[in-house]
Amino acid sequence: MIYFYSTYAKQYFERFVKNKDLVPLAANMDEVFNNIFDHSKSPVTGYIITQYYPKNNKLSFSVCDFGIGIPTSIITFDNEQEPDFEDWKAILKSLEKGFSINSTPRNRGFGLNNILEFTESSNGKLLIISNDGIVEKKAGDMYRSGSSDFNFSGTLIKVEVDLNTFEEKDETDQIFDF
Amino acid sequence: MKTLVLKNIVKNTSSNEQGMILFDFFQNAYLNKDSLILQVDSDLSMSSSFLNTSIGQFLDKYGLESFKRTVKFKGSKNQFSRLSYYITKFSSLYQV
Repeated sequence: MIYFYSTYAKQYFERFVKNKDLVPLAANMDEVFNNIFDHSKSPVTGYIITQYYPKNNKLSFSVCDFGIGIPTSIITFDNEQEPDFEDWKAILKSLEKGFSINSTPRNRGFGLNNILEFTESSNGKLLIISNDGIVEKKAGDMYRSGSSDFNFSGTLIKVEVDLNTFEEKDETDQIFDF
Repeated sequence: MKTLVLKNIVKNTSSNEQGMILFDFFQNAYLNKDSLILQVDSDLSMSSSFLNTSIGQFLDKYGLESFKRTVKFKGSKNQFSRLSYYITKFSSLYQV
C-alpha cells in the first residue's frame, strides 16, 4: 500500500510541473520507505509529507519513522564499531555507496546513497536527523554534521530538489542493448 | 525473442519480493539459452531493492556479460539510462 504513495505523488505533482519526468522523485521516495521497512524496526512504519513550492519550482518530501535510528542499527550490526562512535558519523557512514548492514539478504547499500546522488544532481538538499546525529548536505557544498543535543528516537529524512534540473518527460520507445 | 512487459508481471517495482519474480524470468531465459526484451513504461519507477533482487541477483549469479546476452531493453531513453546507470554502479562496486 505504501508504494502507491510515490505513484500518486508523482501523478499529483505532474500537474504543476510542465512535462518534467518525475520518475526519479517516486523512486527516491521508495528508497526512503524501504529503508524504514528494512532497518528501522519502527512500530508505526512512517509518516511522509510532500510539498511543492511554485515560486521557485522546488519540491520537498520528509519521511519520519520512530524506530531504532540509523546509528543504533549500525552499531548493532557492526560489533567492531567503537562504542563511542558518534551518531552523526554513523549517518555519514550510511550514505556511503555499498555500505549496508544487510538487514535483508539483498541489501547492497544503494538506498541512502541513491538519495544523496539524487539531491546532488537536483541542486537540492538532504537532511537526516537520527538519534543524536544531524547531517545536512546541500548540493555542491561540504557536509554539515554534528550532534543535535536532543535524542530523537527514530529517523527523519528530508529531501529537497529543484525541479528545474529535472529532465523532460520522454515518451520515446526504442530497443536498446545493455 | 519474447517481450516481457514489466508492469504485467509484477505488482510493484519497489519491493524485494516482486524483484524475485523478474529475476526468475531472467534466470529461466538464461538457463534455456534464450534472450528476452524487457519492456518498461516511461512512468514506472524502480527502487534499488527491486533492482537488487532482480538484475543485481542475476549479475551476482551469472555476470554482466550473461546479462547483456540475455536481456535487451525496450522503452524510453530516460528509463534505459536509469537502468544502465544502476547496472554500471552495481558492476563496478561488486566486480561482476
